[in-house]
Amino acid sequence: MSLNLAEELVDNPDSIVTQHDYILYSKTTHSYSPACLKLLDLLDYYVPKIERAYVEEGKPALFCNTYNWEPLFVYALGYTPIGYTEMGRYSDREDMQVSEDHYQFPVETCSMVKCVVGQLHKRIGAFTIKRILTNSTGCEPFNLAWEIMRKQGYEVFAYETTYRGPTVTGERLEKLVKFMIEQLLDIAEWVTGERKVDEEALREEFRRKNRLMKKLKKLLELRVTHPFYVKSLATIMFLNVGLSNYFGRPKEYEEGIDLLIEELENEPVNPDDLKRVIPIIWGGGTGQEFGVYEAIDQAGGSLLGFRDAPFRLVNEDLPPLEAMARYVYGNARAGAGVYTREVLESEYNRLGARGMILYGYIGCSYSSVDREMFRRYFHEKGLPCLNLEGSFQVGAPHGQLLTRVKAFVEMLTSTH
Amino acid sequence: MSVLAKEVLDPRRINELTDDVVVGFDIGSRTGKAVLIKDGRLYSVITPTAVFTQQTVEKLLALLAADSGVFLDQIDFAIGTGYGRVAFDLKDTRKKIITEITCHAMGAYYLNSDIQSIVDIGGQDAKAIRVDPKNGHVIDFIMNDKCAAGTGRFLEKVAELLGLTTEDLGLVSLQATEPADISSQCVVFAESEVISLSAKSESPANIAAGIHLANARRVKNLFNRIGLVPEIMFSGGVAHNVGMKKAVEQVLGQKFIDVKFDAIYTGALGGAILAQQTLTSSKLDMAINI
Repeated sequence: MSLNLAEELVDNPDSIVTQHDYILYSKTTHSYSPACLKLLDLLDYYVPKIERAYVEEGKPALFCNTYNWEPLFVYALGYTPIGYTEMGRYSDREDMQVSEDHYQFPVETCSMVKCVVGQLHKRIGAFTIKRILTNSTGCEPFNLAWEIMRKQGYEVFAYETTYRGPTVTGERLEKLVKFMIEQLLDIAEWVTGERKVDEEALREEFRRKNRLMKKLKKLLELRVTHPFYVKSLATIMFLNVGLSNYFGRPKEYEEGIDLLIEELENEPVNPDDLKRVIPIIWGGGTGQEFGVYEAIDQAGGSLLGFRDAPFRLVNEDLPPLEAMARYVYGNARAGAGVYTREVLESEYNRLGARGMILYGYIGCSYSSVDREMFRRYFHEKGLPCLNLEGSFQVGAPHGQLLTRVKAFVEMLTSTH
Repeated sequence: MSVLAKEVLDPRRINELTDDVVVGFDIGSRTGKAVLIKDGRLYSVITPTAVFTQQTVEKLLALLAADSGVFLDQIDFAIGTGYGRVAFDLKDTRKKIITEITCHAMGAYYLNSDIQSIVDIGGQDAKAIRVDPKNGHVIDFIMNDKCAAGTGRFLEKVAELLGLTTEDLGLVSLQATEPADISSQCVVFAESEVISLSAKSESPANIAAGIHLANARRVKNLFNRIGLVPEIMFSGGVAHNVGMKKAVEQVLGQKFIDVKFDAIYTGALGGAILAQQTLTSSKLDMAINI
């Protein structure tokens, strides 16, 4: 897209339709920040670059989940991870139709799954990445999707879902750790053909992950005093997507984050910004409905806290596979919703947030229970929560979803 | 039509009105409403929603001019709300876009400051809103827009199936002897149920009452999430439906408060009040900065 077209998007935000449009729009609205532009470029070309490098240079890559430990492990095995949930960003209505008409997914199935299936379907027969690392998740539609893709010629490897109950400690936890180490070796064997892991490579990834988590934490602190410098969409992309998979280019990602920290440290604090800011926590997944973030910004809100905020570091003192396993069971995605709630609560305390948006996808029964639990928990603490259900489908968010977001921010503004 | 503000608004709020000439435009999915405040009078107009928001706005402006003699260039500030607010434009007149949720809360507060809960059923969605009785701000809200069931559009469809006008649907339902049991929460399946009940010679009154009760249960579900605190007001286009009003009162176990201004204008009235408040606060800001 030409610069003119990008400027046109700023002049006429209604013409923004695709997720790519939103990224271009973000580039224009962040034109003052070389760091944001660099990171938005990485985001923009994330999947196409990996696919091109695979085709043209034979650089190994695979699709995997975006849980923050999985891409880390894939990097350590010498592969570049593509978070398959990112594929929704490249989807359109046609992808949904492929899932519903060709594969007979019921209409009410989660749009995230349908978009991923549609995107993978388009790659059948093409020379491109055909390996999918996944887990036997509790999400039935995804399980079905992987079975279908296996039949369509994709090489799918599913390990057992990691789940640690809130009361699991002691001997039971040690058994889980051992089990996870075996699973990590299973994954390594499937990816590389050898049942072993280059421990130094894994250690290097731990160092990178911990370093970046600390940097992202610092970035989030700086955003409290500069709440409008990086807008909501860009922040969530840099954090939720970027910290998980580094947009396929870890070195460049880290450089972008360093530059952004430097920019924020040198940017004077505007006292008016601090007066008018309405700190909101984003208590959902990344969400491919980018217009929702724009609606929050336009309404005067600022997403300053996140469900995926860096929380626990990897223990670098342990043997690498054990450290990896303990990290898996110790982070917010270890299974039970209370772990995520801990992160949200820590964000609430850190920010003195005024509201929380709990976002999930239509048709995702998996996340809807957690969201309802969080809503009740924080409501009792006096924190207003908005339970939002959105779609993974490309296109502008529907009006009623925007009404909810805007009314929520208006409510928080008036009660200030 | 026009009324004196002091005749319809809460006496506790009357002195808060200013001399600014303001309009609240509520562009709903089925009708566009506008309320103009000038010299202590409220002028209210309504028109069916046109294909383009701007056409609706122009029609409302023409109706207001005919009633009040106030033209666009004499309006100090306007607020646009309702689903059509996104395309709302008034050329050079100062304006702001605010959601209907905030506007309904403020409108209700000015109609009666004891109102703490609002049932707002419009053409395409149903909302439950909790209002702060101290200032008319929204405390909490929830919207039901998963499907057409429970909305004004759904009631229109049912009326059509029963061979009634939308206006008559509520009246007819009041004659029910035994409301039909409508189990479906989905407009498509509910439509099948209505057809099936008609085929079994169930009376239109019983079917209409059953439909209203099914919708009322959805309203109750909304309040289960955010809490129901009296006084309660019924706003939005469906507030005109006496059958729906009776059903919701029955299911909630609470009576709606009576207001002296047509409840369909609550959002537009709230918009007009918010327009005055916006002007007042901007004048205050200017005074502080001088």
